[in-house]
Formats: sequence, C-alpha cells, structure tokens
Amino acid sequence: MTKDFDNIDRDFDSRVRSMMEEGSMELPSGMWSAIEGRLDADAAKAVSVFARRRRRIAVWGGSFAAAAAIALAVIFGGRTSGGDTLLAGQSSTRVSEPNHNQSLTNCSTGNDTGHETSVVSVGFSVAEGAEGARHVAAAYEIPSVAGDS
Amino acid sequence: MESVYDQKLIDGCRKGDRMAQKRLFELLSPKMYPLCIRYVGSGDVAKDVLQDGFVTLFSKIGSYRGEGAFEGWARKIFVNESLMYLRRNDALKLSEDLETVSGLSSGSSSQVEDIGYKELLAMIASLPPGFRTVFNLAVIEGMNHKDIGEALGISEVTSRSQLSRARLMLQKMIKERK
Repeated sequence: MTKDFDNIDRDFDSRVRSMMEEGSMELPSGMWSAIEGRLDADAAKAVSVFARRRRRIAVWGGSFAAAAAIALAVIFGGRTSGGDTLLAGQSSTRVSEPNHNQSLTNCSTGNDTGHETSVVSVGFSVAEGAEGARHVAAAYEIPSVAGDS
Repeated sequence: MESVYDQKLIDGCRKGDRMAQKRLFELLSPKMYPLCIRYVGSGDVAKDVLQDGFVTLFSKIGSYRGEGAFEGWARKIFVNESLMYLRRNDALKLSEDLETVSGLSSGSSSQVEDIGYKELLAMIASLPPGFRTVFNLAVIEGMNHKDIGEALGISEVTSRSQLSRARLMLQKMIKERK
C-alpha cells in the first residue's frame, strides 16, 4: 500500500511545475472594471461605516455631554442648596432654640396649658391650697361658701 | 523583489491609487488567473475567485513588509482564496477513484513537454477536487505533506495517497491524449 503511494516521479513533477510557473493566460476583458467596481463599492461602504460610526460617536458624545451637564448641575446645584440648607438649618436652629427652651419651660411646669401663668396671676400656688384662698376671699370680702356650709 | 513590482507601484496600491492598482492587476492577473483555474477547475468560477483575490490583495497590501518576493506573497492570497472557495462549496471531499491508480506506471515525464501549457492546465483542472488540490499544493506550491494535511484537515498519509493518485491520473491523461 505504501509502495503504491510512493510512485514519486520527481522528473514529472518538476516538468509540470516548470510549465505551470512559466505559463500565463490573458484574461477575458472586463475583469478590471468588475474589480474596480468592487473596490469602489468597498470604499463607499467604508466611508458609510465611518460616517455611521461618527454619527454614533456624536450621539453618544452628545448624550454623555448632556448626562455630564446634568450630573454637574445636580452636584453643584445640590451643593448650593445644601449651603442654603445649612444656613437655614443654622437659622432654624436659632429660631428653634427658644421654642426648645420654651418647650423645656413648659415641661418644667408639668403642662403647657398656661396654668402657671394663672397661678402667678392669682398670687398663690396650688400648694398653698384652701388657706390661700381664704386670704384672698378675706381681702376682697368674699363670703366663704365653705364657712356657710 | 522582482523588478516589475517596484516599490513605487506597491506604495501606490497602498494609497489606493487606481492607476497603480490597475497596473498591478495587469502584471499579476495573467499568472493568477490560471492558478485559480488549476485549483477550482472552472474558468467561470476562477474569474470570481480572482476578483475576490484582488480585492483581498488590495485591502491587505499594507501588510506586505517587502520581505520575500511580492509575487510569492500575492500568490498565497490567491491560493487561500481558492481553498476558501473549495471549502465553502464542500469541494474538498477527498477523491477515492481507485480505478485510476490501477494499471498505471510512470514514464510520461518526457511527454509533458509535448503538450501545451493550456492543455496541461486543462488536464490538471479536470482532476477530481481532492486530487487536484493536493497535487497543486504539493507539486506546484512545493508544500510538504504535513503542511498540506494541516491546511486541508487531513492526515499526512491521506495527503500522500491523494498526490499519488492525482499524479497517476494525470500521467494517464497525458499518455492517452490524442
């Protein structure tokens, strides 16, 4: 079998190769026009692809620029309003401080109904009780209901 | 580098100069057209392969570094285009025409020169695709069987077998020609 594949005829091969390498053949006409047409089409396609890529880059670039502008606006806009917030916060703190103190004052009285004010205006405290009331009644000559009873 | 393919011509082609491209086409095509016929076996198909080859050549000419002969570099492009055509069309199925092997002997070397170039070209082109491809790669391109095997996806033994059968078939054609 191997012997069958080994029918190497170098002389034959050499003669065939020599003839094939030296020979040439004229082409039918119109071949160059066909190739030129394809080269032109390829060039036009390349230009079209380039233009499409440029357009895509422009769109992406525009989108990116818009996104960047929005991001910058948010960052710097936010920082500005944040400053206002801080100032407002400080202001608010200042404003709220009295409220806070007021609230604390109210808390110290046990309620915020203005009871203390009434106590002060009457001139005695709850702790003084009925004794105080009697003094007030005596001063204004108010008959004591309790004494009547 | 061959004198006909001077640097100016190649540079012109690199720049896409149509006149230079046309000149290169005129120089190369008389040799590359029969090469394509030898591989694909048909003049009409060879024209298509030749077109593809030139389009590829002009698009890749920038990669030619001037190392080795330009014609050899260009030739590889046309051989590759032909092999690609054969692969695409499933034409590289190996031929198993055992009948052609039997009863033949060598001795037709001297008769090769009695026939003309075009006649011999037609004979090679008429070989079955598998025989033809291995014969072209081994005898004309000078590739060894290991490289042919790798290029065609076959074993070295198969490549040798195809070459042997192709040679015998061609010798038979030459002997029997009227």
